[in-house]
Amino acid sequence: MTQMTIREKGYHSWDGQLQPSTLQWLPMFFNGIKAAFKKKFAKGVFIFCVIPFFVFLIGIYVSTRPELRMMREIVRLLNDEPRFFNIFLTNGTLTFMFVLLGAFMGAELISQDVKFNSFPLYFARPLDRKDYIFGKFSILMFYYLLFSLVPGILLFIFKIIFTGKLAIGFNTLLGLIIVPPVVAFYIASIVLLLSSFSRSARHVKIFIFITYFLTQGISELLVEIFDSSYFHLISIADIIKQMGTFVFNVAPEHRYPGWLSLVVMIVLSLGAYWLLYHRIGKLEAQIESGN
Amino acid sequence: MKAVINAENLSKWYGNVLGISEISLEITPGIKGLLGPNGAGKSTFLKILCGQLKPNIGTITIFGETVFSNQALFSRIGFCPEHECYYRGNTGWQQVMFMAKLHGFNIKEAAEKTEAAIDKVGLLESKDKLIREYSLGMRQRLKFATAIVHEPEILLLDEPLRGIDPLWRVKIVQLIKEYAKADKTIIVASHILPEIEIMTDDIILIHQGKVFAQGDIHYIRDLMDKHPHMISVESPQNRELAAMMIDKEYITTFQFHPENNKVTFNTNERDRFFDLLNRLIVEHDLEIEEIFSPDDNLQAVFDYLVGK
Repeated sequence: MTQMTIREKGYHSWDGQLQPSTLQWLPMFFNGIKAAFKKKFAKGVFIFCVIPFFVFLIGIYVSTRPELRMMREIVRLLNDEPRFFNIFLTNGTLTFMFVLLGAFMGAELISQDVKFNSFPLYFARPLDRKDYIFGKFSILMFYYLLFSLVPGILLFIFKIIFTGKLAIGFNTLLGLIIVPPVVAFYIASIVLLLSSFSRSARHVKIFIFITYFLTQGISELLVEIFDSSYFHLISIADIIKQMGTFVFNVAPEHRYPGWLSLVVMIVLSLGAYWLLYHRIGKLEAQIESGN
Repeated sequence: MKAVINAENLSKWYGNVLGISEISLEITPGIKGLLGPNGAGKSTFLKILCGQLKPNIGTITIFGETVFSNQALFSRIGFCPEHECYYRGNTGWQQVMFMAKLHGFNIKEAAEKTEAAIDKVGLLESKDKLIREYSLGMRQRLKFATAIVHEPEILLLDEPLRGIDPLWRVKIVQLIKEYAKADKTIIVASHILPEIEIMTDDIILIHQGKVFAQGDIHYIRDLMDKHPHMISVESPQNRELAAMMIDKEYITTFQFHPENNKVTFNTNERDRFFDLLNRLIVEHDLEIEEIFSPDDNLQAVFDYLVGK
């Protein structure tokens, strides 16, 4: 390469025009997606997250083979389409995988920005707090939907292929569209809020698991003590299950209205977003003031 | 020249701690040095300028637009913060490219701008290295590249030369001057006087959150009547010269330096002093080897103003 003089390297006027965009968070999204793929153990975690899909796929296949009589129970479940998809999208294993995914990818999303004083990088550019939070949410939402909505749709397609019948019930369609984003938003909001509480990603990972297991434990304890099913609302896994039964219109898991789970999840998610919004403002001010 | 930045009565505090107090300024294109000791309020002022902090009192406009929460305006501003703020697991290229994309450039434009910015700061050969492998000076240059990648009209540089080696220090200063020649507005904050002095004579002195003085460094010096000016005259007839000047009320003190035939006067009225000196030289045919003002520099002005 030929060496340029300083004069040549100096200022050159750019004639282009920067267009204001409503998708200012998109570079954060792409950057975050790429960064997650580059992480150590990323492949392992992703493979782990697609296990439920393959289990259910095998189930669909088995249900279409009458000769496999020993699997009659599975066949019965698979023929109950809303129940099948509800179990796939709200089962405890998938919820735990989402928590794991949140710890693996979400723990660093805000904590590292605090650690590396990165807020000036974002907020000195045409981004506001909403864009910033949206960008962070989009990364987690992408992976959550990748391992819930996408396999859900694929399972549905495979079901059509294996059974040869092109039919879908209203509740199944509604559930497939609504449940994955609600669950993704709910868990993502908890993960991101926790990520803003520490500069250390390791601490955030611990917070995430403590929150998951503690809410589960407290919920079970309170249900036992007060003999009230409403305390299942505290548990991350249980509230998701109950919400699923409401949207898919199948028999509820617990003795309280399913719609309440949906409402509580939405309220909690929006509450977490609100807290996060103000938390980021506070963290930003702390960094700016050098405290 | 029309002011690009207008600050009126700006005040900002953090709880009980005062950041800046009642700052009113008009800043025109060119290089403006923001000078003050650590904790003087320089960074607070810059962060208000780039919209990262909202003033508690007062208004600030850039190109006639209010700054805070005006994201569209931020594309016209390049900010190089004081402390390091990047993901050390990224390469230099990724970091600058990410910043270019945040400004709304498409991938092709962002790549071109990234390459140009990285080239300007001399990091093209190390662009694919992880930031954690960069030296302090390289990281500082990278920070500068992220500030200029979108070719802003206003550059806000907080301690931009810290940690940079002497060779690149000169190059970065030249680059800043190039920007100034292109009618850009550059504000350089520093507590290191020579850094500002090599870039500009146009300064704002800030201390304890207040603007002490602004304008040309020599003009500011002239304004400080209550502080005596120091003028040294080197002459073989330095004693005769002192004897002829001793009775003037505007000469407060003088000191002989016999080792180099020099006498140093302190005066409250520099113009009257030089009128007299010129007259005496002509009338008495004095042989003068050198006349200079040891305190007519930024350091002296700054020391006087902050009461050192």
